[in-house]
Amino acid sequence: MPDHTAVVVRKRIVFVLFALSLVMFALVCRLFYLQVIRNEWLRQMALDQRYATLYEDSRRGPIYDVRFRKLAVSMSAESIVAIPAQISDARDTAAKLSEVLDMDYQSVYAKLTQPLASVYIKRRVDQETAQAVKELRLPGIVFTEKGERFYPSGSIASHVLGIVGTDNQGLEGLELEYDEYLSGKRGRRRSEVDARGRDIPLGEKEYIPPEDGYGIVLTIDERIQMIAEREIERAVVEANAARGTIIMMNPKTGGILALATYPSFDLTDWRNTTAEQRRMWPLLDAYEPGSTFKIVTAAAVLDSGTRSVYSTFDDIGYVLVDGHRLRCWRAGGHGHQTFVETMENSCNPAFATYAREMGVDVFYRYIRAFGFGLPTGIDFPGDSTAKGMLQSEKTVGAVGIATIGFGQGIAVTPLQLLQAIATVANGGTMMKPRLVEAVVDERLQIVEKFPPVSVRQVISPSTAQILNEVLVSVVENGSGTRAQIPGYLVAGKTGTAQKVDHRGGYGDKRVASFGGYAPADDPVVAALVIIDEPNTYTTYGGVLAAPAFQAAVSDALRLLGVPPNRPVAETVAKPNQVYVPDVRNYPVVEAAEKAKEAGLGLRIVGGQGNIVLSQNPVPGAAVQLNTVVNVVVGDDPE
Amino acid sequence: MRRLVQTRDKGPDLLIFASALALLTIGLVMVFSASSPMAFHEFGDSTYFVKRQLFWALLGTVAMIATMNIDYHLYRRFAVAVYAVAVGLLGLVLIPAVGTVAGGARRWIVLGGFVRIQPSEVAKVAIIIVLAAYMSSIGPRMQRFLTGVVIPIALVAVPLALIVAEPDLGTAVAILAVCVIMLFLGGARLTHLLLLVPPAVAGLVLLIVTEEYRFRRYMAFIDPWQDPLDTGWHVIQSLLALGSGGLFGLGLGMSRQKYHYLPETHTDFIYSILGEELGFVGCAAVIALFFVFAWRGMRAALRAPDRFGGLLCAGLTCMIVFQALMNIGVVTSSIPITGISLPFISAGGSSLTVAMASVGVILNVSRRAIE
Repeated sequence: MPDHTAVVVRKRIVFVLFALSLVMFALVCRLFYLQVIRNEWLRQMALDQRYATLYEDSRRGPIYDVRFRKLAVSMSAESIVAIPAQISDARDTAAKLSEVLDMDYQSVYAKLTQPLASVYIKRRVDQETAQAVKELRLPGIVFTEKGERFYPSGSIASHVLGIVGTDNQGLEGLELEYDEYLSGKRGRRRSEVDARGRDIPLGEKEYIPPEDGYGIVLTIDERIQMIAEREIERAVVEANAARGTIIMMNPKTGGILALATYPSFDLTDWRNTTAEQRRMWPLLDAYEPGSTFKIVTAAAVLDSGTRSVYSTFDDIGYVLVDGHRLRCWRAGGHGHQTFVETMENSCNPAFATYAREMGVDVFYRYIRAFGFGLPTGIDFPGDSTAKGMLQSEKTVGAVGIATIGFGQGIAVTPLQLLQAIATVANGGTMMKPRLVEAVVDERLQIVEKFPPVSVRQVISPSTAQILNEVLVSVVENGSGTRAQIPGYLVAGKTGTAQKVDHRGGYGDKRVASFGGYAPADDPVVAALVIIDEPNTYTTYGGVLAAPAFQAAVSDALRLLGVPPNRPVAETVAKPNQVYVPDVRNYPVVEAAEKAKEAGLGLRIVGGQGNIVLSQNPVPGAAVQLNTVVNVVVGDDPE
Repeated sequence: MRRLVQTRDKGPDLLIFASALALLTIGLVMVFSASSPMAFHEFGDSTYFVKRQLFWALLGTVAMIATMNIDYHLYRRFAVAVYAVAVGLLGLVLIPAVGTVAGGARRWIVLGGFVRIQPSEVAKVAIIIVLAAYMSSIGPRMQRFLTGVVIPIALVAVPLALIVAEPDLGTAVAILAVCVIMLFLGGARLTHLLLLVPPAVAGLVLLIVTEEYRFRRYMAFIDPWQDPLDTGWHVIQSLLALGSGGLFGLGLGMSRQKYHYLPETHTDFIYSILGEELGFVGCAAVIALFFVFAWRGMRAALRAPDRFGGLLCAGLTCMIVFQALMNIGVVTSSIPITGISLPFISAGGSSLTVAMASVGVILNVSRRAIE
């Protein structure tokens, strides 16, 4: 390059080369940043867009009763899934599928052509259908197993078991409470797919098989549960009531033996029920217990030493508290009574007085010790909020404390009350109620055990023993005669509580109940029967609830193999002589029938009303045929 | 005057030859790897593209050997004719009956079968030849504004306008940039060249904002995540491919992004797949080869026996290297998407043949080098 610009041009060539090199260096830096420094981030993002995941449900563990009979099991049913990207001929596939599955062609075609990684064509098909679809060998049509709940014994203990959702998840009841044990771990199938959803050749594939869930073993005995369900249904229907429950519990372990409600619901058809219908109200909802609560008052007054069992009370038909007249159910009152008789007669003025004699502090200490105002700790969803309602000590006042003495002005859950009754049965030691005994694997080996938990000693064993005898007397001689079980000693207490109506006052709705246990000398079953809003000739717990208790508990004792240890009264004595039947707490018409069957007559000699309150001669007495039994009647005692 | 001295043939620069052939070989391997899923899916033959690329590589090699042995002074003599042919072809491709539309642009003239030519590729070389010829005959008058800047720019403006009309803005920008570099090398005054910057920038901005797809591409460059499934898709998928590669890559043939995530894997975005499969090391190696090519090409220009040879050699070298930098700039999302392929490596008949022929010319110039 000869001319004068030659040097400039040479410099400029070198400059251009330098500039190009600089850009190259900058690009190398940029590449280093992207490929080495941001490597993990970009790689993960690329991975995320490539991985297609198909989940496989685990099989849900079964629910067993205490004797390992299956109450709920999961059978896997196959679901048909389409992977639209892998379908070669959507029309043909849709035509074949819609025919085999008996579905609408258009809807199947629409599903097959959705721009999704996978789409359910039909959930839970039976085996023959699944097989038929498999034989079509359609590309892009795959199967996943979906667990479905079956109930081998039918829909029993529905409220206890609760329900399971479409995706194998426990939604309510024990299915929810023990979901982490029951559900297992879902498996997954992952593979790398291209942008059109097809597997990449040599791409990574991963399969994690599902882990089946554990089974749970209930404290409930299926046979006793069935009895309870049968008896509560009968009792509710006969009383024309809104609803009812029977809860049975082992007082020594806290294990629930049966928990029946009526109306119940069909577990296989739960989608057509409301949450209200499925609500476990016996555990979660509080009510005013009425006279059954006198067990707590009696326990407190005896254990605190405020009164002895030999004390007496004179009932003049009412008691004055702060100028308020708290009446006895029996006009004119019961007159002079022993402590035991106040319980037998369910005398409200007596128990109002006992409560006042103890005072707020002492009485409340016992109420709290019995677990009222606190969750029971049962293993059921919602328990922590099911505390009942207890007025504050500061505001309860003299009238308040007096009415709590006979079970008004306090709200308790049925389970709380049963727990208190079971405490008396268990020598004063309160047990935590439980529904699940253990978690087991598929070979029924125990994975985790839930032993009985004693909460506290509420009353002394000697107080419990005395109270036990008082409660036996209620069944032998008082309002609870219809809970008597031949061959066994039964202890218990009736209750007929008024319900607070929507205006906040007491209306004409009632709750009839009976709570007790048997055999009283060595209790095996504690039970509470509640008949809510009976609508018949009576609302009396001794007439409506006690017979259901009697029927359910006597069958339970027989099933549990508890031997009778009491002589059974004979019905035929000498020629021309009969034993007088117990007609107390029967409606007059039924009492007359019973007397007639025994070859005796019946005459009302006092009182007014439907229910036989007392009789003469006493039950069990041997009398001549055709003797007339004189009875005193009343209306809805308590 | 040395120019009159017939210099002795020293043999072609072997490093230029080697780097070009290395890049070509990498290209063939990568075209096969990157295109096989798409080729298999579209044509049922995973070697569909690589077979064609192999043909073009052979044709390109033949062209390179031919031009290597043709005395480059010949081009100076036919500069005007070459220029006229190029402009003619560019005009022809715009006629709907002749030009074939692909991807929204009329860029190809189909000759038959898979043989189609891209007039803009021919125009690149033609413009470089005519500029080199012009500047070498102008000599010291390059320092004047009229003869040093206005006339040569007017000369290239005609073919550039036709290329923009295709539309192929990316190629036009690349050619314009190389032209400016050549004017700079040819001795134009720096102040005169700087005067070109404002109108060039203004024109570019105008072209971007008036055409919606260009504007969207530009916005996608600013923030690809704003529209990841549409305009941002190319950029994001390219970055995912590069980023997945890491230091050493997933291994040859192991790219995942080529499974329909990244479009145009065997053409404009082949470098992303290369980065995914061969990693940072592979990417840097390709840049290193282009550096060797640039260094030896500019060295040959420096040692060219005459002005025409020097400018021709520098222009062709810059054109190839500049396109490579633009392409890598695009796939690393350093500049907006322009639609420039990677020389020697991207699949494409015209571009490969022209690039190989250009290498032959550069080699021919290097044979005449003086110390």
